[in-house]
Amino acid sequence: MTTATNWSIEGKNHERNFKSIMFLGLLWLSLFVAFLFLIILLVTTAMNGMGRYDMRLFTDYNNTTPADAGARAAILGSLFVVTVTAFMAIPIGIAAAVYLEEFADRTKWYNKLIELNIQNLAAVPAILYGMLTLGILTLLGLKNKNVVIGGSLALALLILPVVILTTREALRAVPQEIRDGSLALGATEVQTVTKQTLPAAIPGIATGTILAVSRAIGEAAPLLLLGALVFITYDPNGLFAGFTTMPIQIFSWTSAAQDEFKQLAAATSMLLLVILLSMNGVAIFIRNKFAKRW
Amino acid sequence: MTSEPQGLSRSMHLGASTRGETVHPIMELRNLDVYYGNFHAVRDISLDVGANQITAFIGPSGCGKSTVLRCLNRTNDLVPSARVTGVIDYRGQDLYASTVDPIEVRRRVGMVFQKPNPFPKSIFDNVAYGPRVTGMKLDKSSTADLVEHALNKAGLWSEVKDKLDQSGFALSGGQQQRLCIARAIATSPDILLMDEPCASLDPIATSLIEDLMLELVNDYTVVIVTHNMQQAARVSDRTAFFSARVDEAGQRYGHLVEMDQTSKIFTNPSDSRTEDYISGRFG
Repeated sequence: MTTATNWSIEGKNHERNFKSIMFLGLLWLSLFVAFLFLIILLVTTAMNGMGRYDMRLFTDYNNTTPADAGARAAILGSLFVVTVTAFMAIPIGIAAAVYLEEFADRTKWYNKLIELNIQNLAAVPAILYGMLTLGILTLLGLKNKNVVIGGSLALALLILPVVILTTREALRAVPQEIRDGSLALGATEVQTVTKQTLPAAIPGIATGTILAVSRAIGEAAPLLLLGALVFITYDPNGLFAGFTTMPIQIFSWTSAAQDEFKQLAAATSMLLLVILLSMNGVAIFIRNKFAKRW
Repeated sequence: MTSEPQGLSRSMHLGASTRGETVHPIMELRNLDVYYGNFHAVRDISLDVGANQITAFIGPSGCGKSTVLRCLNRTNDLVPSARVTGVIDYRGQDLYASTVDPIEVRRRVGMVFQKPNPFPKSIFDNVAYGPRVTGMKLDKSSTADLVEHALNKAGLWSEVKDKLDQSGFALSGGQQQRLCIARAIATSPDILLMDEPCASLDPIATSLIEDLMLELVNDYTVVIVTHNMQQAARVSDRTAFFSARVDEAGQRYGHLVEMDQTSKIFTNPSDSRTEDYISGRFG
């Protein structure tokens, strides 16, 4: 080479040219649109509920006179149904995930089939779980389908795939070295799971499970199918008692004629939102506080 | 501690040339073959592991030395497609006989891995884990004694005695590795396998672990896989040199080139391939 090479590194900053800035601007705009609608929804709902943020929302049962109506039965119903749901879905979900992740031989066709099914089940529309539950309850000969155990069964089936998938994810995040170390000390595979892998995965499992349960709280479709859209004026008092939940009550009040009922629906929506947000908050807290870095 | 063989004296370590001259085998491998599915990975390995000696496995990557090491405590069983043929005689019993409980084997043949892998538990619980899961009936004070004993043996006690309830992750890499050694010692194994135990450590931590190996071999039999030939030369009594070869079908497999006293392997090996490897001409 005879010509001198130009080693200069000066020039116009490529990060600051028109195209880059336009692209960034578009990204911000998309974010803004999504956020804007969320804010509008939140503010209008909050405004609509104005006047009904009182204790009677919590203490009174539903009533044909809007001024005397409250969401007590729905709040207690939601809590009851979701607790039973959690008791059904979480142990089964965790056990299934432990089997699939720690013990199943992935080369076997039936395990592959199960894997594929669970992935798909997580994407099945909620109403189908309502139909399935309806079918099961009919087979069992239950006349009144709107019972706590029925609703919980539908919701448990709904969140089961999510619980399994998130638990597997959490188990997979535990490094193989931990299992190897335990097994090399003469621990059995069961001991390795119960004393090492599962405890190490608990933060991840808890996070995923809380998110799954919060999904169950907000769900209305499968319960509507079971006939949960009824007028309940008592606390749910047993697994075979009739019930209503907050999303159903909101749905019912929103379709009522009087504006006062719509106001009540908005107030209950805000309450439901607060519950959901605090559950997600707890999930995020657990994730940040207990998540292990390997 | 094992009762035999008493004739071995550690003073042999002082005169390096006599180290590893005599062998009282605690494990005898005869015609060992390892398969992963249809892949015949390691072929026809026969060698003896001497009691209360440090045996080093050296050789280029993919020569099967780690695979053979993992056969010695049956951790290869945990790979679903793995299959082992041949005999590993351990104190007169075939390690792969159908009547043998692999869990029992792993309790007697401990293992330390390449990457320090403390459990996400306290230092104390890391060491106490083995005795607890193997069903040793221990009360609180004897557990504490055992933990202290194991940490002492691993040369870690003075560094951690005031922070036994801290997480094992809070330690440095070298300390973590010595914690893993303490953890393995706590179950009173017969043999300790070490798979490149210093590969992720700095030279100071490495030299501590090497000193520790020379201590441990008074009570245990040690088998170490290492890529560091100086390390094999420094610590081991006997060295097995593995290499990889390609068969007629084009499959690459590991085999044993030779095994001898470490001093002989490094100064006057019988096989020219060993000399080429040691002098850095291949691998």
